[in-house]
Amino acid sequence: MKFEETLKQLEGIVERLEAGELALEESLEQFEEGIKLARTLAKKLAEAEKKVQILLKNEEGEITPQPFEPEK
Amino acid sequence: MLTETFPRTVLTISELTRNIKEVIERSFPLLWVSGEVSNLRIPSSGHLYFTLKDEASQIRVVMFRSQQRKLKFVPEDGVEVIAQGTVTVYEKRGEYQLLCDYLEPKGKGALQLAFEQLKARLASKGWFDEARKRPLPLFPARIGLVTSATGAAVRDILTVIDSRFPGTSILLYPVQVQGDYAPGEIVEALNYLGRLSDIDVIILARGGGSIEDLWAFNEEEVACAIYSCPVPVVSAVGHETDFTIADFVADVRAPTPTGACLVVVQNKADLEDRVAYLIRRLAQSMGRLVEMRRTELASVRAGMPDPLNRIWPLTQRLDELGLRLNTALRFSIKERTAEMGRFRERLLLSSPSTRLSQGISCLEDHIQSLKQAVHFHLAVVKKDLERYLSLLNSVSPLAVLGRGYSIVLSWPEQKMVTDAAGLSIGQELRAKFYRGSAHCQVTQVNVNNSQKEDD
Repeated sequence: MKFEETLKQLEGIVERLEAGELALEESLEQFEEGIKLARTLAKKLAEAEKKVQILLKNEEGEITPQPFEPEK
Repeated sequence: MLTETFPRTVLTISELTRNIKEVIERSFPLLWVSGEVSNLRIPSSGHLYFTLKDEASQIRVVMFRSQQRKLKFVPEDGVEVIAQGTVTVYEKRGEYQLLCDYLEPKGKGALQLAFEQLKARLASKGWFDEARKRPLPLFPARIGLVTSATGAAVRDILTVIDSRFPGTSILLYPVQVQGDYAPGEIVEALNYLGRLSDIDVIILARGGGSIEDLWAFNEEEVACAIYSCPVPVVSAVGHETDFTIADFVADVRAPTPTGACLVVVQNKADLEDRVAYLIRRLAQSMGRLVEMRRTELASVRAGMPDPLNRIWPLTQRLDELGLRLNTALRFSIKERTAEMGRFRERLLLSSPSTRLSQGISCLEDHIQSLKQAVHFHLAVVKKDLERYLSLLNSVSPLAVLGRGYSIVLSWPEQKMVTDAAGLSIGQELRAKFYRGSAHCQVTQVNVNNSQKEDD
């Protein structure tokens, strides 16, 4: 799932909980779901690993990605 | 006769025309000429036919299709142009004409005119409409980058992206950004990157340069590739003041390559703040929910029927428990809120993401212990209620009979007799015991109190 979709779901849950119209049982379920989504978001933000690649063509014309470091 | 002194040479029309042709073509090698285009015609052969004229004269011009590849604009009637070519004779008609091999608009640069013509055409097709522009992803999984692998632009872009969100994944498709091969390479790059499933935005960039240097970004094929690219394209060509066709077609136009990074990559801290803010609201709404349930509980308890009101010690006990529960919850929420505050501070300071996860699991642990606490207190209340039931039992009249007391009822009305004065001798009565009952008859009535009778 994309980052903004997850974020949107979490926002929806927070808004529903804040409206206070849910039954107790449902509130707890939503709360737990919210915590799960928040954890996913935090993980996505944390886990980005630096990966810059350049696409290069070989003699056969096949395109393959290689690590890239710009010239200083 | 004079005519007889010279031998008579009679030429055919073809011979004469050929002679004129030779003279003319020898006398007018490659030349430049300026004039106004009129009577422009393009038949199905694709060759261009028009007349160049000034105030006094005119000359027919033909430009073959093969020469038109170099045209950077579309000639129109009334346009002042400079033409390069040779003068030749069209023998069949006996007309001289200019065989044109290059044409450019006079005054305004050819490139500028070409730019304006293409811009007007694409605008009328709706390619620049805001309505068809797609939103950029908030947090791109992977960014496609189309630019030169060696320029300053790529270095600047990678530096700025790294400063905003370290570790962003980028796939560079290196292309020439000027020259004859540039448009084709850019088109190929956009097509290739647009097909990759993990690329969700593409930056098309080039550093500053003259209008000629930036020309590839004004080519129709590049505009077309941007228009049909399946993922949003951000253009960042030249400086802030440079506008190219690519800028108009792109979903977002960034003023510079560095500017493109700012629209494509959000600040990591901003995104983390947003998530932390949602977590805080989540915790607060849960706290409010608990508070609300507690208030409801209190109002239900207040509206309970009479018998329960009499058992004030238990009510007090309940209040006490409620108070303790409330204090425990308030303390927890307060502590949690403070913890969230402290956590946010740390989050803003440095590398907060791991702490964010720790905070969440801590929050979950806390919710777990809150639940356990509630269950424990409910169990205590239940035990107290059971004790109360046995107390109720002990004060029941049936229990009193067990201790040797009995109840006397009138017969046959079965009304409880509490005063001997209402009795008469011979009247029938019914006595109820702890176990069973007896039918009796009054033999004597004593209206004194029972104490005296015993005496």
